[in-house]
Amino acid sequence: MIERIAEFCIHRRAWLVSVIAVLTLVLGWFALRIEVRTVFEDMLPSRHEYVQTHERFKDTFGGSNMVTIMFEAKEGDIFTPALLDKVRTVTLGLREVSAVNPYQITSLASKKLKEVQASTEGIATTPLMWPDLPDGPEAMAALKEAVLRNPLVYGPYVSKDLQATLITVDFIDRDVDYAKVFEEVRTLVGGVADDSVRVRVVGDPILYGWVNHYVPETINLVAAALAVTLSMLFVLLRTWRGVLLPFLAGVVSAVWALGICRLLGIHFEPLVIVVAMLITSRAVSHSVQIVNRFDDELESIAKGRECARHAAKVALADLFRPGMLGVIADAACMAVVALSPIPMLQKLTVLSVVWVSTLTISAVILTPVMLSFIRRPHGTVHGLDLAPPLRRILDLGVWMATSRFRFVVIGCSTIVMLVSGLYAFNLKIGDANPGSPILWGDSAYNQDAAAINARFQGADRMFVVLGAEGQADLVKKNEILTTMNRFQRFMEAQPEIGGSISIADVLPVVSRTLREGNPRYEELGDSQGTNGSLMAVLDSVSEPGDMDRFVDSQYANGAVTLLFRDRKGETIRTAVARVKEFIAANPLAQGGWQLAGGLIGVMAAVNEVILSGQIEAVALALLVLVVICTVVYRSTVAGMLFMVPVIISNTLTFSFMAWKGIGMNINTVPVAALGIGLGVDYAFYIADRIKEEIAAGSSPERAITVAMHSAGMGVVVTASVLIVSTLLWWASSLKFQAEMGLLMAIWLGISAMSALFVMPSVIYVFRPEFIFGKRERPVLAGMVPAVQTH
Amino acid sequence: MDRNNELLRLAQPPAQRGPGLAGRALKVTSSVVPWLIIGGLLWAGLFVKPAAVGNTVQPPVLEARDHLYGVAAPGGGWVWLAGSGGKIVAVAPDGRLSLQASGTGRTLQDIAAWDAQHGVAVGNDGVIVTTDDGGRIWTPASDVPRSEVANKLTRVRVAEGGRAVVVGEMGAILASDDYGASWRRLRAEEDVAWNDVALLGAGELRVVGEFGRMLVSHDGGASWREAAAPVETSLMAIAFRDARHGVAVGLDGVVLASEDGGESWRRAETGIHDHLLDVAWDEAGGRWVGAGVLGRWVSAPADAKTWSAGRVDERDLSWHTRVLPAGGELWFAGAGVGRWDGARWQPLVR
Repeated sequence: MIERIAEFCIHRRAWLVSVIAVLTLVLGWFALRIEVRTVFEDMLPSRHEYVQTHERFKDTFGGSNMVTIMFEAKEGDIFTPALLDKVRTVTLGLREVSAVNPYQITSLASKKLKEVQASTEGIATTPLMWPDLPDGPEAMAALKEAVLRNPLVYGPYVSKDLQATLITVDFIDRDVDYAKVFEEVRTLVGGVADDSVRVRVVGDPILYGWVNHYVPETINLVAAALAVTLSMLFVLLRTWRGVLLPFLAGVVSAVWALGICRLLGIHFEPLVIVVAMLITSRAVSHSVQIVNRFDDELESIAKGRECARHAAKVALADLFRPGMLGVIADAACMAVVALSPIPMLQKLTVLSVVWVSTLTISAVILTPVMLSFIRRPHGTVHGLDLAPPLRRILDLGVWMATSRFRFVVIGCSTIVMLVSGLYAFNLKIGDANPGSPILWGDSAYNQDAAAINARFQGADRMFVVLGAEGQADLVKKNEILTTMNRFQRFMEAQPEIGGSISIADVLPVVSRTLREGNPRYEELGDSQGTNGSLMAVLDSVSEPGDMDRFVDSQYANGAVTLLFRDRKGETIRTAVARVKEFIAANPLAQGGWQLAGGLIGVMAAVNEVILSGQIEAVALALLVLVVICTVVYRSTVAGMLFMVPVIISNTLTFSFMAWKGIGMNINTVPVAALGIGLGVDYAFYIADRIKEEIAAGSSPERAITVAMHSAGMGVVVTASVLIVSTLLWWASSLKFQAEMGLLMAIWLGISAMSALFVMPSVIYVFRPEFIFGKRERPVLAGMVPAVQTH
Repeated sequence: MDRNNELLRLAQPPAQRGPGLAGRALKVTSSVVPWLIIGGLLWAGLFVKPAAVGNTVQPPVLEARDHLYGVAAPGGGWVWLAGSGGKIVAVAPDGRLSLQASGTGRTLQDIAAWDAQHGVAVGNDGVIVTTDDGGRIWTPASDVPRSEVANKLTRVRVAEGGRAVVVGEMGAILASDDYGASWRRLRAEEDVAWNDVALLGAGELRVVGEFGRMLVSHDGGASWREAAAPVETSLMAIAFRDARHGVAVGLDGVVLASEDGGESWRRAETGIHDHLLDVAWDEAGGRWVGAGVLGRWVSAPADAKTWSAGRVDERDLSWHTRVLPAGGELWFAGAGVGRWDGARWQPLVR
C-alpha cells in the first residue's frame, strides 16, 4: 500500500509538484491578507458564569479594558496649575480616542468627581475641577481641601501623599483595537510630557499595544531564527538539499495554513507566533529525516542515473508511516485543545491542526518528491564534516541501550518521571508574579504598573453584583446596603485588595452632610426609610451617569468594585474563594449575588477554565496518542511505549514552568497544550526504523545501531539546530516569547534525549511484539554481531 | 480494536500449555494494563475537574474602614478604643492590639473607664455595654430607657463610685450609679441631641447639645436650667479643669470659655472655621486641647484666652471625635487613631 503511494508520487512527480505550486500560490495570496491582531472577546470563555455577569454589566459597572493614567509630580504635590492643566488636557483629549466610552472617563478634571455640600438651601453637588482649572492660589487651596475631605477622591484618585493623581478611562469592549488605542493614548500623553511630571499608563489595551509594538522585532527574531536554522543545517548536512527542502517544507505549510485560516476567517494573534515556530520546527524535523534517509540510501547505491529517484522512493516509502504517524499524532493531540471553551484557543486549535496537517503534503510527500529531481546527488558542498562527533553521541545511545546500563537508564527515567510528575503539581494557574508575565519585569509597562499599585489602591478591578433583575429599588434596601458594607470589609482584609467601592460608601457621606457634617453620622441608616431618603437626596443632586459605577438605572442591581494591586493567579483565586465564603455565610432574603466582572472577574473565569481543563487536556491528548499508536501498530503495547517520551517531556516541561514561575495563563496554555503531542515523532522514527531492521532479519543490537545512526542522526541534527534557533528568542523584548522559546528548546531537547537514550533501552529491555514480531524471545547468546557503524 | 480484544481472549489458551504461572501472569498483565491505562486516561479526561482552592485571610484588628469614635485610658498604660460595628480594641502598653468581645454589633460612639477593671461603652440604637474584668468581656446593659424616635447615644462620662452619665439623641440624659448595671432617665425626652456632659462632682452636671443649647444641674440631674450660650451652632463637647473653669467647642470652629462653673460663657477666637468635635484639659501639659475635622487641633493655656490651631499631620486629614491626654501624649481617635506629641503624628496602624 505504502509502496504504491510512493511509486505513484514519484511517477507523477511533475504533475504533483505543479499542483502543489499552484495551490501554494493561490493560498499565498490569501495568506498575505491574514489579519494580525488580538481580539479581546476571543479570550473569554463566553459560557462561564463570571463572563456572563461581566457581559451583562460591563457597560455600567466598568469593562475589562480600563486604562489607568497616573500623573506623578516630580517635585511638590499635584496642586500646581501646570500639572492640573495636563490632567485636564489628557482628560478632554481622551474623548477623541477610538472606542472610548465617553461616560467612563474619570479624573479630577472630569465632571464625575464631585463634592457633596450641604447649605441652607439644601444639598448640592459641585464638580471638583470642572469645567475650569482653579483660578489663583486661593481656589487651588480650596480644591486641595475639597479633595482632602472627600474619601471618594482622596485615596482612589489622588494619592495619599498628594504627589499623584489618576485618570481612569474605559473602552467599549467590542470596538477596541489595541494597536490603535495604544498609539492614540501614547500620542496624547506624549503631548503633555515634560520634566516636571512623570506619566504612567497601564491597562490591557496598553499591554497588548506593547505586544503589537514589538511585532517588527518579533519578525526580525523569526528571520534570525530561520537564518540560524538554515545555516546550521547547511553546516551539518553539507548539502543544499538539506537546507532548501526543510525550508521549502516550512514555507509551503505556513502558506497553506495561513491561507486556509484566512479563508476560514480566523485571524492571527501576535503572541501565537511561538506556536507557528513550534509547528515550523516540526516541518523542518520531518523534512530533515527524509533528506537524511535519502542520503543513507544513496550510500548503498552505486553512482548511477536513476539513483536519486530510487533513493527518494525508498525514503518516501520507509518514512511514510512514522512521518504520517508523527503528523497525525501531533494534530490529534492538538485537536483536544478545541474542547476548551475559550474561543481564542479554539481558533488557535484550528490554525495549528490545519498547519500540522499540511506537513503531510509539504514534508512527508513534497520533500522526497523534490529529492527525486536531484541529478547528481553524491558529494558534499563543503569539507567540514561534523558527523563524527555527532556519531559519538549516537554510539553513546547505542551503548546505553545494549549494555547493562540500560537498566540504569530505565530506572533513572522512572525516577525522573515520578519526581518531575509530582513537582509539576506546583505549576501555578494564572499569573505567577505581579506585573504582566508577557513583558519583562523591568519593562516600562511593568514599572508603571508597580508604581501605580504602590501609590494607589490598585489598578485592576473586579466587580461583584448584588441584586435581582427586574426588582426595582432593591439596592435601596437596608439588607443589601449593610451586606455590601460588610462584604467590602471582609474582602479588604486580603492584603492584595487595596480597596473597594460601592453605593454603601457614598450614602454615609450624604448622611454626614445632612447632619451638619457631624462624622458621628457617617454611617448607613438603621432603617429602610433612612437609607431610602438618603438615596433620594443623592438622586436629586446627581446627573444621569453619575451613579453608573455603583447601581443600574432601576436600582435593581448594585456593584461592589474591588481594586486589586496585582493579578496573580493566587490573588484572584483567594479573592474568589473569599467572595464565595462570604456569600455562603451571609444568605440574602431578597436578591442574589453575581460573580464577577471587570478584568479580574474575567481573568478568574479564564483561570478556572484553564484549571478544570488542565487534566482533561493532558489525559485526552495521551489517550488520543495511545489510540492512534494502538491502531497503527495494532498493538496496545505500542501505545504504552510511545507514552514514555511524551510523559517524560511533559512532566519535565511542566516542572520547569513551575520552577521558573511561569504560570499557566491564556497565553502559555496554547504552547503547553500543543506541546503535549510534540516530540513523539522523534520516537516514532527511531522505533519504526528498529522495527524495519528487525523485519529485515537483523539482530536487535544491529537494528538499534542502524536505527540510531540513520533516524537518530536526523533527530540529533534537527534537535540541535532547532534548540539553538529557539534559544535566540531569549533576546525578545517580550518576556513571554523569551520564556516560550526557552520552553520549546527544553521540550525539543528532552524529547530528543528520550528518543535517543530512553526509547532504545526500553525497546531492548521489553522487546515489544509489534517491533520484534510474534516469535519467542530470541536467544541472545551467540547472536551479538560486530557493531557496525556507517 | 477488535483485534485487541482478540488478543485479550487469546491470552488464555497459550498460558495453559505455556511456561507456567509467572509467564501467564505476565501475559495477562501486559494485555490488561494498557486497557486499564486507557480507561484511566479516559476517566481522568472526562471526569477529573480540579476546583480552585483559595486561602482564607485573617482580618487585622484595626481595618482601614474602622471609625473609632471613642477612646479611654483605664490605667496601667492601656488604652481602649471603641467604634464601628461594636468593635472594642485594647492597646497594650507595648502597642499590641487585641480585639475584645464587645457583646454588640452596633457602632459604639464612646467609651469610658472608672479603673483598670470597670468600663462602659455606648453607641447607636441605645446600646450600652459594660465590663468588670478589665475589658475581656463586655455585657450589654438591659432595660436602658429608650425613645420611640431615635436612640443614638453619643457620649459617656464617668465619676467615682460607679457613677456614669450618658447623653444622646432625643434629649437622652441617662445615669447609672452601679458601674452601668442599671440606668435611669435624668430628663424627659425632647427633640434635641445632647452631645456631651461634664461631671463636676457633688451633683454638678453641665450638658451641651444642638443649636448651641446648654443645661446646668446642681442636684445630680433632678432639676435643670438652660444656660445662655452666645452661639446658635451645635456644641459638640465640654470639659472643665476645675469646678469653675471650662471650655466648650462646636461646629464651625466655635470655642466658648467659662470661669463661673458654666453659668456664663464667652466666645474665644481660634481663627479657624472647621468643625471642632472634642475638647479636653491636659493636666500634665497645663493646657486645653481640642480636636476636629480635617486633622485639626486647637490648644490654649489654662486661661483659655489665646488659642493656637493646626493639623496633626499635613497629609492626614482624618476627623477625630475624641482627644485624650494620656501618658504625656495626646491620643486622637476618629477616622484614624494615633498619638501626637505636639510635633509628630504617629498613626496606630497603616
